Order: sequence, then structure tokens, then C-alpha cells
Amino acid sequence: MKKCEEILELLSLYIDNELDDETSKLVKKHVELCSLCKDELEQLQQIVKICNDMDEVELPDNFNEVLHQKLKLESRKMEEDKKIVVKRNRIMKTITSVAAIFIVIFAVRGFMNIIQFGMSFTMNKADVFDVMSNEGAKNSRDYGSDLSTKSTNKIVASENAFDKELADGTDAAKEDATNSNDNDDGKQVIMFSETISDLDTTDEPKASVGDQLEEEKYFATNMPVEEAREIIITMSTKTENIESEKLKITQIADKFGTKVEVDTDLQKYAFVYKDWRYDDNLSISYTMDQTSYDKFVKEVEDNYRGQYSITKDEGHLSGRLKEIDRRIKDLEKNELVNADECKSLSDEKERVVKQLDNLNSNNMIRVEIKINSD
Amino acid sequence: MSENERDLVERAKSGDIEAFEQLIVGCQKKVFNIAYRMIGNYDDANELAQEVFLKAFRSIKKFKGDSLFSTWIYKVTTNVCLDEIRTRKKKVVISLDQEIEFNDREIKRQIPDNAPTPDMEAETNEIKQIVNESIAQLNENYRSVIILRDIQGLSYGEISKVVNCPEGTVKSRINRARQALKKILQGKKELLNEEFVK
Repeated sequence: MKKCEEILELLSLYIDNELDDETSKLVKKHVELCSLCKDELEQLQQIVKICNDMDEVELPDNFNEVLHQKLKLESRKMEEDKKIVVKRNRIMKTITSVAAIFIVIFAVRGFMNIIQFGMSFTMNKADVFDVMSNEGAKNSRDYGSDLSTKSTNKIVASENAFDKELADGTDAAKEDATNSNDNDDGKQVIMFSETISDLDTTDEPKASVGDQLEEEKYFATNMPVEEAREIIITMSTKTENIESEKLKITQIADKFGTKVEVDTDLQKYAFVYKDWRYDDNLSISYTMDQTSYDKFVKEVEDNYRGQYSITKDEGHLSGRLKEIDRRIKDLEKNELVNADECKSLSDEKERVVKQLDNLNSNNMIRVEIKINSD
Repeated sequence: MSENERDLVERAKSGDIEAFEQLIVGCQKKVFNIAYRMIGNYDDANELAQEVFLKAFRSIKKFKGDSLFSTWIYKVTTNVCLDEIRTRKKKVVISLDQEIEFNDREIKRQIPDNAPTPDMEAETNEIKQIVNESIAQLNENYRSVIILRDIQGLSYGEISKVVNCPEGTVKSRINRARQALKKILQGKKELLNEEFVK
């Protein structure tokens, strides 16, 4: 004979006919004799019965219509999501390969890129954009002229030191090439900055000699590459003058004599950025170090308030994303689904998510500079 | 799973809305009622049921056909409801008597009651009404098995799949849930008068 406690544990299963025959009989026998357990069983049976008889509520009349609308919307979203994933993969591949190209360039050229960019800045400003549109055709020739980069004092200084080494070590072989470097370092810097355009045509061999030798030197001088940051400046303007606005921004940055450059060499970047282009916005990439960046931002904020505004892109974007999500949820709650608005919202969401992805996949300072046209 | 159901599932997996709608026709009312008992309010149940079907549509690729489609969708239902209940619980963390400033005066903060509020009118019968209220007072794990077993009449095997627990666990959970429900009802004994005999 089982104890009452054991029987009580079995009552629930007994009610549901979930006990094997033997145990079921045992329980049955027990409750016939034990009034306490019998009471318990009856109470439970009654509760179960009430639950069994509980009325069912009917669906709202428009349940299926509303659901149908939502399913249609969902199905469209899923289609778009598929596309995004495909696109995202493509972008990621591009970024990765661009990054790989970067590494190769840095390694092979000895971290020359930034200085080289700085160089083209000392050229006259219109040329900057020439260079950009000419797909950096002058790149290789600019190497020699890097020596004249005024802004990178440290580098110039070490260049000078190296120039002496160069003069000592390669006297015999490259007497011609090093002759001018030999004399007066300061003069040489000035000379280079004044003869950039000449370099292109007249001093080709000399430039290429400098080129090769400097590679090693820059590895040795341990340039603070980690201080260089890439900045994406997204400009949106309704005016036609995006080119001149671009120039203005560039000039502001130029004020500090920093290594600021419109992304020229990296035309490959352009097609990553092409995806960023939306409405009237344009993205360009600059390279500058942290200090210059700070000055640059300050300058824009102090003197160009109203004309340009700087927002931390990421915060701005994720804020917007939240807003979109909330709005979509609101719409879904609302039984009258406005398909058009949903479509445009999910489009915008796609765009914002894409931008955020782009930002997150790059280790960059993110700035959005808005040009207010009015 | 019947041949027809299998076919509909495959079509729904490829995004066929009509096929999906045919699939859910048979279980819509049950899904709605599970949500209604879980959350205790008709409008919220409506919202949750919609969410259940959207979620099911989104994730039907994960349905492998190792149970009936209805069992799978009850599982989605239970999960959506439990998620909602847990989110609601988390939200109420503000101190109940913290004073806030309003029009230069300090007033007591008033917190809306987020506990399930069964629609009183829905239960015409007094005893059913009280049982319904008591179910709403159960913790969500007990509540779900009582709803699935005693209101919706699912088998132990099905419930085990829906709540993703071994059948043994389901058995003891149903037992404890009924005991707990009885205890709550006993607390309301005086309300029950002769209707509830003992």
C-alpha cells in the first residue's frame, strides 16, 4: 500500500489516464479508502473540468486581412534582406581586398602613401582634383617630391639625415643623383617644392633613384603610421557646387599644413564609396593625423558653423536606425498598414544598416560633415 | 504530417504566402486562444498572435517536419508569449513610491498594473472567471502547461515538444501546476460559495 503523499503525486496523471494499469488500479483502490486523497482527487478533477470547458474567444474579424498585409510586407522585406546580404558580402570582399592592397602598398612602398598624399597638397590646389580625376597617374613620379613635404617635420628631418648617408654611401654610383642633396638640406626642400611640375618631365631618373632609396629609409625612420587616421567626410548639398564645397573643405584642412589629402591614389576605394553615395551626398576620404584632425574639426566648428556641421556618424546613424525601427513597429501595430511608407522606411533602413556596416568594418574616425546649402 | 501539409510547408518555405495561410487556417484559433490565456487580454492577444504568425513565416525554414506543423506553431506561440511576459516583467523596475516632480509639485509615481488583466466580460460564468483569473496568477511555466493541457487539450507528448522538455518533466510540471492552481483557488474559496464544493 502506498502512502498518501505518493498517491497525491500520482493524481494528476491518474486524471489524465497517463498511468499504467497496475498503478492506476492502486490509486483507484487508495482513494476509495482514503477520504483525504479522495477529496484532493475530486478538487483536481473539478479544476481540470472547468479548464476543459473554458470558452474559446473568436478571432477579430479583420485578423486574416491584417495578417495578409503583414505577410506581404514581410515577404518583401525578406527578399530585400537577401539582396542586402549578397551586397554586404560583396562590400566586405572589396574592403578586405582594399585592405590587403593597402598592406601590400605600405609594406612595399615603406609607408609612403600618406607622405605622398601630403605632397600632392603642396601642389596647387586645383591640381589636387586633377590628380583625383587622373586616377593618380602621377603617383610614381611624386615619390621623389615627397622630400619636400613641409608638414611632416619629423620625416623631413630624418630625410635630411638620410640624405647625408645617401651622399656618403652612394657617392660613386649615383653621384649625379645625389649631387643636389649633398649641398644644403634646407635649400633642397625648397627646391623640391618649387619644382614639382618640373620633376615630372625633366628629373625623371633622379626621382626614381630617390624613390628606391627612400623605401628603406622610411622603414628605418619608423614613421608613426598609427597616428594617421582616415576620415570619411560625407557632404550633402543641394547646390550644384559639390566640387567647390569639396575644395573648401580641403582648404580648411590644408590650413594646418597637415597631411591632408583627398583620396587620390586609391581609386579602388571609389567603388566602395560609390555604394555610400545616396541622394546628393558624396563621400570622400582624407588622411590626417589625430592632432590635425582635432584642429580641423575645431576650425570647422568655430568658423564654419551653419555652413558645415560635424556629427559623429555612428551615433547619428544608429539613432536614426532606432527611429526607423520604432516607426516600423508603430506601423505594424496600426491595423491600417501603409505599404508605401513601410517600403520607404525599409529602404532607408537598408541604407542606414549598410552605412553602419561600412563604418564598423573600418577602423576610422567617423565624421559626417553636412554642408547646409541655405 | 500529411502529403498535403508537407507540400504546403515546402511552398511556404519558398515564400509562398497563400500556402502559408492555408497551413495556419487550422491552428489560428488555437494560437489566438493560447495567447489570450497567456497574456490575459484580447487586444494584446491579437497583437501577439499576429507576431506568432509573422515569426513562423520568417522562420519556417527551421521547421524540419519532425512534428506536426501545428505542434511547431504552438511552440512558436508559447515562446512569443513567454518572451513578452518576461519583457514586461523586466520593465517594472522603477521604485514604486519614488516621488517625481510634476508642475512644481512632488507627486507619487503611479505605475500601471502590467499583470495580466483578464477581460471580465469574456467569462460570463462566475466560476470560469475566477479560474481564469487564477490561471493568470500562475507563474508563466505553470500557466503555459495548464493552458496547453487543460484548456487546449494537447497530449503530454505534444506539450513536451512545445515546451521543449522531456515528457517526465512535463508530467511533474502539470501536476505541480494543478496543485498551484488549486492553492490559488482555495484562497478565493469564499467567493466560490456552493459552486466549488469542497
